[in-house]
Amino acid sequence: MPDLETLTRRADAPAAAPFHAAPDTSGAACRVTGLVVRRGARETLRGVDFTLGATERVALIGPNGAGKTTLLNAVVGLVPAAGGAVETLGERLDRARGRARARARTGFVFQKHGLVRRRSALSNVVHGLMARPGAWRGWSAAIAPAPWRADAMEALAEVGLADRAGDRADRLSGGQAQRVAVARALVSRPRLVIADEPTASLDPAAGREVMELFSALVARRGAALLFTTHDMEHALAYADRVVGLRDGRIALDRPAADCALTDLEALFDG
Amino acid sequence: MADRTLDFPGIRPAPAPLPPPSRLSGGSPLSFALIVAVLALIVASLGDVAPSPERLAEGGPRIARLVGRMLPPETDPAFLLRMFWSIVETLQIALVGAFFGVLVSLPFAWASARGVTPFGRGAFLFKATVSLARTVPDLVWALIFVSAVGLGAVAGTMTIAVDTLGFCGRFFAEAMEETEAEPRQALETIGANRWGVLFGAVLPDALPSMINASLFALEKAVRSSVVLGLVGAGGIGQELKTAFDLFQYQKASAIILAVFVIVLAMEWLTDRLRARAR
Repeated sequence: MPDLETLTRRADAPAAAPFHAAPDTSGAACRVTGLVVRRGARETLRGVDFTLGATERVALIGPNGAGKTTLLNAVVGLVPAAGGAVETLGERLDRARGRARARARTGFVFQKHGLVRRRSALSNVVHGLMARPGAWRGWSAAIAPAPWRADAMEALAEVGLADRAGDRADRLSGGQAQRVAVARALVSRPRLVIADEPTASLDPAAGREVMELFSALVARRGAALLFTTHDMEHALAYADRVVGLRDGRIALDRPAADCALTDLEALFDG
Repeated sequence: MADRTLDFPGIRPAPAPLPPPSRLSGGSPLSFALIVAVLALIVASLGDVAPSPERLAEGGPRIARLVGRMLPPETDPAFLLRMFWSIVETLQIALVGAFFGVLVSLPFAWASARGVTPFGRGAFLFKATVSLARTVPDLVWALIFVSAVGLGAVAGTMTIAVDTLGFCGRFFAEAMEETEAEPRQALETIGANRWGVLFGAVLPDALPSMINASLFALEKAVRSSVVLGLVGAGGIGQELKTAFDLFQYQKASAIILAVFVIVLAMEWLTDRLRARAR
């Protein structure tokens, strides 16, 4: 997390001319080319070109309805492309087999944690292993093999909740539930982690705590991170690159180090 | 009093408030005509099928006479023993029938639940089957099964199973449809297959409602199994029919009393179980 001085210095820096960064795309975690997505008659993404490096951390920002969540969903094939192509972890997502293989190596954290409320924290983390062979053993911690349970316990320990493993998800606070969701996303050691406004439903302190933990764990695993946020400080603090969307198109693409808060906020004007 | 908002530059005065919407919103001439037609039908039918005051006046004393002939209930040990075994058979019919009904309801509910079914538009077929099981009354199913497999408890068990399918098939499907979308989507994104989503997210979330529906089904099964004997499908109903046919009203009252106690006990038990399932 940058201190206030750093943020202020960035904000005071002269506004740089818009430019598109040239990321290292060798072994890219995700490559999106000319992506068009339609919802009814409306185009929510209108020709998006975007590449995410193998270990890059990218923050996706933009006003509501700009297409951020749609882009995240498209990266794992949850919404079909009306035009263009998406390649995630080397798999083409227009084929069911490719989608399944890409998802098996992707972790996803949602705005609302998406935990199964009546299951234990441990069961919810074990669910993250369902892409492994013998998937049925991931339905619940009660039937999971010992190595799966050990992996899940390790992931819970990493997010500081090993002592709550047996507690039902609906007994956890919002911040704790989101940390369990992070553990579920990371337990399968994914190569790509996607997060859709992971701190939007948390208070600022819990949000910062979750982001710090999340970002550190993703970095430790050497995975790529793509997350959306409305918190510009989070975008600058936890991403290597900031990509701004407006009206379904990329309007900003810069290394975070070259961004000032005012540049990012300009994306939301008019 | 002066408008205070004018004191603050940049703040516009609030627009004049709009009148509230009409108290009678949403009613179309067609729905009004429909309500009038239904009321007219009720009034016209009253004259044909509702009891007249004279009939009620005549019937009152007859009921009193019948109740008098029913008391005291029969207490002959041989009869009570026979009734006990009939009650056991009734409960067996209810329990086994409800068990198989719940079991068959699970795949039907999964196949017909919107947003969960893997069959797309084909889900309609499963929904229609469940509707058929529900809309045909249990006594009609009992007549069909008595014709198919003969008199006795087997026909009763089959009737209860089909009746439970009609009830639980619908409520299980609704419980599955009402499960939270986020956990389902989370598991799909992780790469879980259809079974993983069903057993990992849908069933745990729907389970309390499904247990509730199953306990209601059991309660309903006990009530139904009591009357199935009237058409020859086994259980205590058969004893009740015989007692009435032979004008043995004291035996009939003993059976009615026993049925009342059983149904009450079953309601008490299922209420307790439902409270625990929450």
